[in-house]
Amino acid sequence: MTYSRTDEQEVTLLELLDRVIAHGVILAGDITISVADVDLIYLGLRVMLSSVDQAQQSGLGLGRDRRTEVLDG
Amino acid sequence: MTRSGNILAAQPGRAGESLTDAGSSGWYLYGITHAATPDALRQVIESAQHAAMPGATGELVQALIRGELAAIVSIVPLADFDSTALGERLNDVAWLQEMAWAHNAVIAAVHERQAILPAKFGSVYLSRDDLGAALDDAQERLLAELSRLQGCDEWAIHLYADRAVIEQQVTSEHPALQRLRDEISVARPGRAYFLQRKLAGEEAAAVDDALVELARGVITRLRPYALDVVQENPTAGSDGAVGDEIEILRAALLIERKNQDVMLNEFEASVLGVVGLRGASSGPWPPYSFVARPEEGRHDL
Repeated sequence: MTYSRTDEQEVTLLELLDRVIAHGVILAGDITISVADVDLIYLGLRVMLSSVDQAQQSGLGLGRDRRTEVLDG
Repeated sequence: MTRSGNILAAQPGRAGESLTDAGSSGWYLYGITHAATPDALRQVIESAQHAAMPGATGELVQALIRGELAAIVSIVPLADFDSTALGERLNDVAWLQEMAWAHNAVIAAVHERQAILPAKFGSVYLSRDDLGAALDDAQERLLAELSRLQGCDEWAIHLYADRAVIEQQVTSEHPALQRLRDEISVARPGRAYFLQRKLAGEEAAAVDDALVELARGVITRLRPYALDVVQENPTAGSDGAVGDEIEILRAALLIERKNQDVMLNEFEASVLGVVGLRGASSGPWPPYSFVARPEEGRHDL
């Protein structure tokens, strides 16, 4: 049983995209790309990146100023 | 290179829009924050400017003030952000990675100083007036959202289970399954075959139930420290799972900064001691998962 905590561990691209693309305020206006377009592209991209993430685990060389904790029971 | 950002007043009906409203440029929206005082806002913008990757999401980071709100924006070429161009570039992982980090870096820099409502990636407005009008329409509710999120961070929580390990524990301790095994051991071959199939099904169901309970137990312990929790379906993928692990919980928690350490300690305590379970968290993030979207109906912006 182990517990480890690192303060500067990489954050995967998926973790970022799940927030940046999948969420956020949308204000009504003449936005040049439709929300539906982004969401559809995101869904397809996520499937692709998920398999990349599984293979690489560490993501795509990302992560700054983020604390990641890993807990093992 | 150090660059300082502009603070622009966006008055309704103001004549003589900037050169950037000439039709070839748009306003890329990172997020919305309090206009605060000019000095405070200038510091916020300078901080965001340092965080931004030059050339990634346009030029200077600027604040477009509308009443009590400030839209954090950059001017970008519309050609890069029209539906076709952006659709194609979103499939370029390297470009998307750079853009997503630039988007996040600006928002995070503001978030470190004051509350911000992150905008959805790729929100580009055709003119200053268009963005200003959108802010006007939602001003009251945006201010309420900012107030709700003040002093809060988002934390991502993941829980992974080694199904084989959990299965071993569950099936060895489950009385009903043990009775079924005993029955199989003395049954005739034909009946034993059907009982064996029944046993396999009940074992799988018992393990599924146990995994749900493990996830429920962890999130139940964390809820008292969170102002809000968004749980996502981890079956869509098992991000970060190692080996035979499966992700059994994926959640975003809205945590007041004063409660951050106690929440993380509780998460640690809830995972430690459970063989076959592993937890991971990342944060603090700006509150992406907790800003309302119109279709959610919770806070119609």
